[in-house]
Amino acid sequence: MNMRLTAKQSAIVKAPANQKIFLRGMAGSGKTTVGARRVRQLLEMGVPGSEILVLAPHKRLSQPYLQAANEGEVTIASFASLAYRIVQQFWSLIAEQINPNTTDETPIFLNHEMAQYAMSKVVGPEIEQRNYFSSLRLTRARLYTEILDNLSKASTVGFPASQIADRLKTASRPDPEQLHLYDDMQACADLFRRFCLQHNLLDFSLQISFFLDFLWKLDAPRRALTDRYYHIIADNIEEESPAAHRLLLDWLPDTSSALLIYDTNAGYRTILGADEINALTLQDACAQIVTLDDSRVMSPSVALLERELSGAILEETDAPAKKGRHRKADLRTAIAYTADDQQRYHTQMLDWTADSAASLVHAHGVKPGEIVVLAPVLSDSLRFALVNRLEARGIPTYSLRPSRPLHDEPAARALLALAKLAHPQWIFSPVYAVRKADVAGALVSVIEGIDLTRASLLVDILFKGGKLHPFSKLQNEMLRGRITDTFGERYDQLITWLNNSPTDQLPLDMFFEKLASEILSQPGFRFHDNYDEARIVMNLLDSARNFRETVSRFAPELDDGYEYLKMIDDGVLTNQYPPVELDEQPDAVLVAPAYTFLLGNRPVDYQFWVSVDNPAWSRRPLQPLSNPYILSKQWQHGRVWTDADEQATSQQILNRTITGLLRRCRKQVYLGYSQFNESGFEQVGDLRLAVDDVLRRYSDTKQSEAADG
Amino acid sequence: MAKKDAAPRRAQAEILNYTQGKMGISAVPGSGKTWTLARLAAKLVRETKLGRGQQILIVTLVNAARGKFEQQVRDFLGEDDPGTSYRVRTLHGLANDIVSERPGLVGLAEDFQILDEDNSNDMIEDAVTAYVRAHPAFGAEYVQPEQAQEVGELWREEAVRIASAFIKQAKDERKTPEMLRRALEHSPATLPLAEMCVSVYLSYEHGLRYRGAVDFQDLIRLALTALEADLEFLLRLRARWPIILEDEAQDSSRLQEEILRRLAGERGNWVRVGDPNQAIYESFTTASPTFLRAFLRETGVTARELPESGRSTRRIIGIANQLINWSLEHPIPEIRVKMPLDKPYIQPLDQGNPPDSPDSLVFAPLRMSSGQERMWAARSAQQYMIDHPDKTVAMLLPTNASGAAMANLLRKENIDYVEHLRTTSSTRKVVGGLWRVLGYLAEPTRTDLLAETYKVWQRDQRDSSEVKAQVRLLSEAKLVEQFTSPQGQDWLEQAINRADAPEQFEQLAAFREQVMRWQEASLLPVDQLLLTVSGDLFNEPADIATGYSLALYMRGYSDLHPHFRLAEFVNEMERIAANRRKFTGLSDDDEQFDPSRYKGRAVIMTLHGAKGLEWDRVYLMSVSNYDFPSVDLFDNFIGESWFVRDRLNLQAEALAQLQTLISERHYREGDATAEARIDYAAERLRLLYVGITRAREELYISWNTGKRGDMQEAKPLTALREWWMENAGG
Repeated sequence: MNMRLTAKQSAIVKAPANQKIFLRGMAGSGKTTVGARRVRQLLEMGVPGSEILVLAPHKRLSQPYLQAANEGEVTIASFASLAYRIVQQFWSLIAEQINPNTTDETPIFLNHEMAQYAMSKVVGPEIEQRNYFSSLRLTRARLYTEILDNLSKASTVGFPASQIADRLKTASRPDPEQLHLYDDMQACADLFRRFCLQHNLLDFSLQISFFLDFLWKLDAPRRALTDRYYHIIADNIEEESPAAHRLLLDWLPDTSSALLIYDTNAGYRTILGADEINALTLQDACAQIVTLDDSRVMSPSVALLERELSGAILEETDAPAKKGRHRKADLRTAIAYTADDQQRYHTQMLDWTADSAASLVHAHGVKPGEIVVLAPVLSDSLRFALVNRLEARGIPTYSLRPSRPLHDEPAARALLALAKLAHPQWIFSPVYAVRKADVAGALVSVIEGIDLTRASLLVDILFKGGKLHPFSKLQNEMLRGRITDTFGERYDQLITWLNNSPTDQLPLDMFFEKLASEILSQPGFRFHDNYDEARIVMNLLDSARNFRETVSRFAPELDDGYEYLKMIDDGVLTNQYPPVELDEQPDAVLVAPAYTFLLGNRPVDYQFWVSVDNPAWSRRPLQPLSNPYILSKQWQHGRVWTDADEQATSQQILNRTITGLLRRCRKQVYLGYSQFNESGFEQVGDLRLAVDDVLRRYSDTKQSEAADG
Repeated sequence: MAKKDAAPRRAQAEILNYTQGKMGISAVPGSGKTWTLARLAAKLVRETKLGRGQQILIVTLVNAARGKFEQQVRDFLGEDDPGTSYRVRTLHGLANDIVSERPGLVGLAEDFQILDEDNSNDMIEDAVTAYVRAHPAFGAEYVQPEQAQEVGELWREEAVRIASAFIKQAKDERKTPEMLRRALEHSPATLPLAEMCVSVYLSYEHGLRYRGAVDFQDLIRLALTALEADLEFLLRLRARWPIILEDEAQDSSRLQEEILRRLAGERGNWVRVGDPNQAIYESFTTASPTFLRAFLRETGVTARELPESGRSTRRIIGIANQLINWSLEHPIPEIRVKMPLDKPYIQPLDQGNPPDSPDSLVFAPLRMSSGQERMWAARSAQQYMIDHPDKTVAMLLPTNASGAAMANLLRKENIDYVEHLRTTSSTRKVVGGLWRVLGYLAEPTRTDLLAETYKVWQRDQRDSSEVKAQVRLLSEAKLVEQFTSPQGQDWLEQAINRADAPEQFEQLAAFREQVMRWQEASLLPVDQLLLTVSGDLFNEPADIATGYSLALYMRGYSDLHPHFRLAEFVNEMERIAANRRKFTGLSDDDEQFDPSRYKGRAVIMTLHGAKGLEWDRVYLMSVSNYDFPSVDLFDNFIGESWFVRDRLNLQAEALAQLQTLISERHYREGDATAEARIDYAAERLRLLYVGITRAREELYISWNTGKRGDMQEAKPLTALREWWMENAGG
């Protein structure tokens, strides 16, 4: 935050409080710094914090603004959260118009998981009955996600939800199977939409649509925003959807000042509906357009690498761009390549990554916070393997990725098993029933200090006929001695509570809450003083409550607790929460997918790219029932999506990713390469080809320079 | 095997002159076809002006061949290896590459899952079980009435095999279950097997759809569909792979050939090498050596031969050629007309073949029981290895089960051996070690499992008397928790006097710490648990990599079975460790099995697995009419179950019923069984030929009388033996 500003930056920060500025520039040119300073400047000019709105596409980008606001009353929000707020506040104004038969029910806002669940209930049977999607191989979770994505696209791009299939079909090859799939998808989307309207269930697409198409057009809701915020700073508007752009375009005339920040060559959230080209329409609403295009991050060598690599990815045939400030740059100092003897196996590359990071930290005094380890896709296994290796070398780490599914969290699994034990009225079939191993695991997870051997012994002796029997009744002295009285008493405390819990009157979420507060957070139990586990319990509780409230709306006859436990066991509800947003950047190595790091907008000194061979660096998530490009505003009606489009998109994704990463890198990139990938196969992706091109071209240039003397 | 700098022979040199167009090469065993093709690949990499991203595509049949090929190309290229100018893939790997690039073209998302054959069989088994339960009368018309009571479980297993063969072939024929159901509804014929199979196929496909998964057959089918669906995509791939070299082309199926044909294009560059005499993967598949033979005759294809072989002694070559002769004049006309083996003969080099010795060809004494045969081979091999510690030796058997029996005997007799059956021994060691540890964690109160875990942890010293004593001590511990996590009384303090045996004490204390860490990790998802344990257990990069690969496999397995717990995962790992599941690790042996790594040790393999390999001495075992039938009255045929009436081969009958649905061909019961016998006999003849041609210096052939003592010497073996007695040397 204390970086010295250039004259250009300074001019924007200090512009009068009635200026509307469109600021564009590459990553690392200091745009967000300007935005954050502008907030501080406005406050210093005497603008009340309550009149300032900072819009950022997601929470992680808001960190510099939080610091700048310094706990003032500045509002930092996302477009989606504004929509949510307004719909919630002014629902009554449109309720009748939306649903003439509505009772006075408040709407239920569906998060993604609950929208999926609702869809499984409404659309699932229809799919079976009508044999929809018969040529498709797709997990149900993924199928529902694609339908929900399509609905979201309709509202964020701004076209009727009934036209999704038509749009996809006109851009599709005339393959009857494919056209059929789109029709099936549309039928499901329509059905789901009707169901939501009927029950006042608002998924993301309806929230956006009601906000923008209805409430924003009404006086009171509109004024709730325009009469409150006179100064808008919107960062990363290229990561926003046309709906957000539409709001800004409409709102800007009513504001006193605005600073709209646009990152050139970004647009990482296309799949979520971001439209970086549409964002440029906001230029017309600003009096001034300023461009910042000098990197304040990259060393000359990294900058040279960025240009070279980008040229290779885009297959530009021009000679290397060693001009100007690049003239003296040496590309080699910007790259470190996997050691020859650690290139065979994927796991050796991971060792090399951890060794090199450890050497930077321990031998060269680099702060762990200045290192990131990035992969195109970060599976749980890969994350675990990396984090383990780094921590074994004494390197602190943190990881930004969605939480593990609930049934993978030992603490959550323990609570779920205990819930089943406490509800004998719920009869589960064998696959869902609690087994000895579940109970032993649950005891280890909740009773402080008990080991797996004693927990298993305890279960062997006291878990009979699906019930836990008290330790105090155990007569065999030797067995009592083996388990120890300490653990036996804690166990008894737990089962007494479980047996006496009024589970027939207690919703499951409240059961969890009581169990956690009355037993598990007490001394002698493991959630006492354990922040991580407390967080998992909070997530579980939140998820169960959400489930209960939603289900009660459309299937009040369902025993929600019983249903919830089964859905978790089936993996239908995973309750994967987004990564925990940290208020303070820890001084630890970040292990993350490249995409997550890019959205964070935080430069570092060193980057490790794991598996440069992996084709996933240039692959978009491929959706057989959707296509964000065809559904975007930029797609020309009637044009057919071809393999060339697929190729161009891959190239563009890779180029944006790589330039985006390098523009956030100050000193050096470590390229992780292994002959065999994690499954034992050789692979070559476009990133590897581009890296090879650059290295070859560079060594050719060096040789000819040497030959020229 | 020829060295990398050896001068090519004349026929090889002709092939190395290839620059473009289509070429088909018929090669004999030991003619250096892989060497020639690898050298050609290297030459093309060097001499072809490849654009950015362009690669010479090299396709092999199985993974082990892929590793070998890759290594050879790399050796030829040496310093010139840019690493990205060629790509060696198995046909399934190639299909996966194609589908993964445009999954949307064939109704898949990018995270589709690939089921291996074992897991796909499990799903088929579930569907069959459900069908049999719902249709208790199914099968009554096939099972002999007097057997009906006792074959319930066997019948279900039979039904799984039938359904599995049916589904595979239906997919090869690109027929969906819905298409077949419609055909069945309109079919005038009564097709009870097809009815069951279509019903199972429907629920199997439903399961795959629901899981977003494909099986191996789907991969091939969908790759071809993707190439057909989008011409631009096809053209892009054609541009990426301007030259295609295909090894083992005799085993390609129709669809596999079609994929390569499309990739090569009408006027493309496609070199196919194969030996129709070594086609051994045809039973119940659509693979056939006739495709390669037809290719060799196509207009525009340059046909070449690689007839010279320097691998074996002249006597061994002589007996292989005699098998070709015998086959051409096969006593059974129906087999003869199929020409199981055909010319060219193997021609020895002018010089360079190993010299003959009195032991070049040995026919075992007649009539042995299976136990006697194994003991005879074991004793003989043992003596050979004592006399020739620097030579390689293999025992080749027709099935994994007979291989396992051989391994058991060698183990009992303390004869040094390497078992390379469904999994390699190095992979089994890794999986076995991990299985032991997880097995203990699933039942942490059992001291015997704890003791086994200690053995794994100390595996390098497991045979030392100290470790043995420690293992005994642990397995006798009564109160296991007082060792693993003492509360008050510490078993270790009492069991070992620290002052007397400090080293032993420290070892067990260190093990205890390790066990406690593993106990904590046991609550993690199975992949993460495996990564933790394998990181603690192994030091060798290949072992760690195999551990990682197993972790990914088990993650996939747990995704397929969301209700499974550690106990079930342990069972699955046990199946892999015990060779009942196929799992490919990352050891050198998985990549490329090199017999010369095992000099002085007996290698046990199936005949199928031995293809492409060679040893100084080879024991070719179990050559009876059970494994090598000739359509004689008393011959046995795999696929014909004893409890099925009229000795019907129901897999073959089901496939014939499938053909009736597809082409409305008339179905007559029994025809397919008869045809299958002929095809099977023909294929087994080729398998025998493969076995014979694995030997460099000495070949020992034997047979046994089987479980019930009624098996005979295989007809071709009798013929070869008699010919040998008369002509060569006897």
